[in-house]
Amino acid sequence: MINCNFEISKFNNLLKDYYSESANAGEGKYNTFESFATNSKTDSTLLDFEYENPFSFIPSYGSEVMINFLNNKINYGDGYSVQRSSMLNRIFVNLSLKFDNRSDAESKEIIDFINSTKGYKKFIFQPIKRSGLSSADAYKSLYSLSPYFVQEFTSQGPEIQSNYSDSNNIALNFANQNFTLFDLKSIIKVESMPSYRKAIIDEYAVKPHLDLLPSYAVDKSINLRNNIADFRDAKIQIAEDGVNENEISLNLSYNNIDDEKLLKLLSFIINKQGMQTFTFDVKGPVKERREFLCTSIRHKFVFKGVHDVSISISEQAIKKSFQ
Amino acid sequence: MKYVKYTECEVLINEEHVFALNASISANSNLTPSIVYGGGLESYAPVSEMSANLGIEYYVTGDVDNISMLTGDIDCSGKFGGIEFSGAYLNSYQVDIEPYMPVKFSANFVILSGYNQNLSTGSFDSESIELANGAHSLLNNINYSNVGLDNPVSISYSVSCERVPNYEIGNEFPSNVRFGSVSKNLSIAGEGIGDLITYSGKEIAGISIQPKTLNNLSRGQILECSGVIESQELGVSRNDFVKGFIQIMERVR
Repeated sequence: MINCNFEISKFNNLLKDYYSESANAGEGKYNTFESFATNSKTDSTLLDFEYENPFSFIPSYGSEVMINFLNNKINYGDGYSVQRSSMLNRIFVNLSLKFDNRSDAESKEIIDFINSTKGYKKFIFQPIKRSGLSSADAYKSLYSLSPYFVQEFTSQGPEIQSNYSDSNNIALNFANQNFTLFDLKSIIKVESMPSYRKAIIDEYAVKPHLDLLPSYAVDKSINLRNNIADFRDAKIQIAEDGVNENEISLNLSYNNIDDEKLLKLLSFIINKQGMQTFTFDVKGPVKERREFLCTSIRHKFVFKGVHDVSISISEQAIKKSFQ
Repeated sequence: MKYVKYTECEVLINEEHVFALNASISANSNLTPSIVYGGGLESYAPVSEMSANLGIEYYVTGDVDNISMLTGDIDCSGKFGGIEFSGAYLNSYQVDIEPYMPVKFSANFVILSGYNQNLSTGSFDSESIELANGAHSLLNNINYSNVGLDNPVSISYSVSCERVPNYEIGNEFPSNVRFGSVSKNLSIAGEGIGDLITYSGKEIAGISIQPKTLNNLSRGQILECSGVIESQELGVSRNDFVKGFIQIMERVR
């Protein structure tokens, strides 16, 4: 028997365990969570705020961020299709975090913190507190991992490897399913961040053409579209299936890119929402410009200012955009 | 171009001068060229931390070799030719002994916290530094049990310390360094090798050596290794004697 303890009256309330109104009382602060949630992303100067007991441990290199756009694909004839939004909160942000070579004391703190959330309590991942930061650097307190302004997560529990005496590796998965079509821009952009970074984001948010070149090797597969008829007691019949004879799929790896190229790429893909298509120039052996769609992005932190990003893009028969 | 003579090039470890025979510092960035789709070179990117090392060979001129104290969970700072570094960890310490020759010590440090660079002359010329004479090894300073080797002609003793840095996202240098495994190895060349070992090695063998000066003054601490014999070698060549070689391994941590 499963007991469900959801309190319907509190299911969507805006009181958060991690945001205390008493701790955030007074002038110059976001006094309520509602005020914080609304204004922290849009204020050009970030006010003061303080979370209760945030998760503040900094992960190791090799950690990853995955963003997935959940859509329903509706297929029409002749290779035509559309992406329909499957639900309101359809943007999944998942962090696959590594905490390598940590002491027993630090490991215990990490494990105790995650265990205290019991797998369902939402918590804040905030490595840098607002207090102590200047106004110019205040936006950094909204990061979980730069460049992501996503801080509220749940976690299902740690995996622990004891490497040696007083040295442990801990793996954690953090999940966030809050973002929607309406606020996905704030995954990587807040108004209080430096203007040059906002300019990069804004430029690549509206670009219709992916001009960021990936690394070698690029995997390309061509799906020859056809019509397969499987008759009973007879061999399979294969025939043509109208226009749009083939579909190209590409796996693009952007290896060892810097912070700026990462920001451009994230802005380009995130703002397409997994629904809007873009053009990309396929290089040899057959050079052509085609229309593609991307529904997920994987980012790995390699080293300071160095990142790997991989995306899979699939060809679409027609251009799809928001007007 | 700076012309810095050997006598002007100080080597300091934790503010103490080292009578170095030679010293070198090296730094290697782990760069990877980024070739983009279409064939162009876009940039070079570091894919991991910079590896920096300091290696020295030296004579011990005092009662205690302070560098040997750094094999534990402890870091050190230092200076070499005007290049200052901190967050350095000893990862290899070795002593080479031959009869009636100066005992040669060598150490290798991994530098994990960067360094300030300004190649400059040191003070060996301008300030007098008291240096006692170094150690020579006399064979009667060696005690060994269950080794099965007579009249050793050379001994090499080494300690390897594993250092595992913890790099956090956004940082160039590690936030801390975990102390990993520590193992000692002692190899001896001499006459014979005693009983041959089996696949499981040989039961506990031990050696202790006290480097001393010709005046019988101790130089550095007693070197001890008590473990198992893991390898043996016996060879002979024309116009020469039978030479044996054994290696003892001790896992300390």
